[in-house]
Amino acid sequence: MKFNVAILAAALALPVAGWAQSSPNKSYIGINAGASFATGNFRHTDAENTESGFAKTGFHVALDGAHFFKGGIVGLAGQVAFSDNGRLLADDLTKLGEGYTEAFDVDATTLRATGRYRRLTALVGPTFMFGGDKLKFEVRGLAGINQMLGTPQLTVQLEDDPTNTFTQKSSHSTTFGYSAGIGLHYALSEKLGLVARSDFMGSSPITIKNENRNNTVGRLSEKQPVTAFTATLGLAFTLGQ
Amino acid sequence: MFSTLRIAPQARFFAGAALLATLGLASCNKDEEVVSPSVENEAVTTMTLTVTNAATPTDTQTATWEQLLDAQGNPVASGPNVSQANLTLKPNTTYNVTVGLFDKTQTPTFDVGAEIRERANIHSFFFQPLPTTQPLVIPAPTGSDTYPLPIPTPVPAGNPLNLTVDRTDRDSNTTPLPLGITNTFVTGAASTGYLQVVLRHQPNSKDGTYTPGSTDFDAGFTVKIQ
Repeated sequence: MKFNVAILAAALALPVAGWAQSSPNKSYIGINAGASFATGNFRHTDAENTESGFAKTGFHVALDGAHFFKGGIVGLAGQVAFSDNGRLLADDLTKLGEGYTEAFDVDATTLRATGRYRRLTALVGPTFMFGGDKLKFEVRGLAGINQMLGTPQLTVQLEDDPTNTFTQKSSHSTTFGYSAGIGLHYALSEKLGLVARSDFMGSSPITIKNENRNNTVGRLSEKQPVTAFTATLGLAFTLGQ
Repeated sequence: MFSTLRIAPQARFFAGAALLATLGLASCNKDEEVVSPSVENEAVTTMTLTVTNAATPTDTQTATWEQLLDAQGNPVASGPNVSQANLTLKPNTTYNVTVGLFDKTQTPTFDVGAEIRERANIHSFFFQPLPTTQPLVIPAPTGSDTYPLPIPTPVPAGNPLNLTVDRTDRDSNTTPLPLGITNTFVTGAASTGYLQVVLRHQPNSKDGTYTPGSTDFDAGFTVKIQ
């Protein structure tokens, strides 16, 4: 939470500080790729917490763009991004399995997991960029759609009754998404620049459906918050004259 | 408004590498399977029925059905001890009844009933007065199965035991279902017979009926209403 506040404070303060001296900004599009570090409950591995997501550090790739009005520091930015935050591993299933075995008071449970945390985000919002001709600093806050392409699907078979399995389904929820972050643009040429970005991305909790849960027993995950910190490197292509 | 975009070779390489990495990760979708065994399982050796006259609380009695286990956890060769598994009830009387379950293989004796209360959503006690003219709540034994002592198999034909059992406690499932730790027995006219008590373990399948799941404990009591 403190981290989010710090980013928001920077997003508000830095553009004001840089307003006074900045060379004209050109619109750009870019591509960047890097790591997505799952955070908060999305990353937690506490099986007793129904919002623990067991998500991992994964991959993030994004197409970015921004249009600056009259070359000023204020622009409208957009981003389409794909993020992958891994899958459930054997250690995760062991933790979850111990909980189900205990909760259902059975001799053993067999857990099967398939699928990964994958999502697409399409976000737009204000951006502020300032600095000299060679090096520019960008701060932006974006909001839009978070589309889950899938989450790990978990099937639990209770030994006492092998026909009585239940499933935590893969989610394909569409939720509200947002991000806030900073970027550093270094011009390699008039048209091409290197960009380093750091963003905090999140979404309202996604909905998870469960099948064949007949009794109120054991871990039942129905909502999953999705939050991640991304660190990427990429290229930006300047548009216009 | 915008000029034609020319992509430099290094930019094309970078973009291509990012795309390949994305596709590679997206296709890496290995399944996992893990079996989680139970760390420990308590045994159940003893069932008690504590019966209290609802109108006269000092009128109370306890019946005990016990199957002790050997060092390997198998039932002792002498069979269950049913010498205390007897209830003598008054006709046309209401009794409050509490079921107790214990593991006497542990020292001190472990209260399994407390565990059952905590796991009420996947357990259910069923009661079968015998003989009866009503549909059976608990199916009669088939094949080589037998009623638990002291109930004879098959149950001798005769007048029904005039006993009605109502399970009064409920679990915390979305639709609350009976558990059967606390109950009401209502007696009718004088009669004799048996009472079979079965604890069913119904993980993720408890629906109020006897069928799903498996039997954790099966005990029998003689009942005289006089």
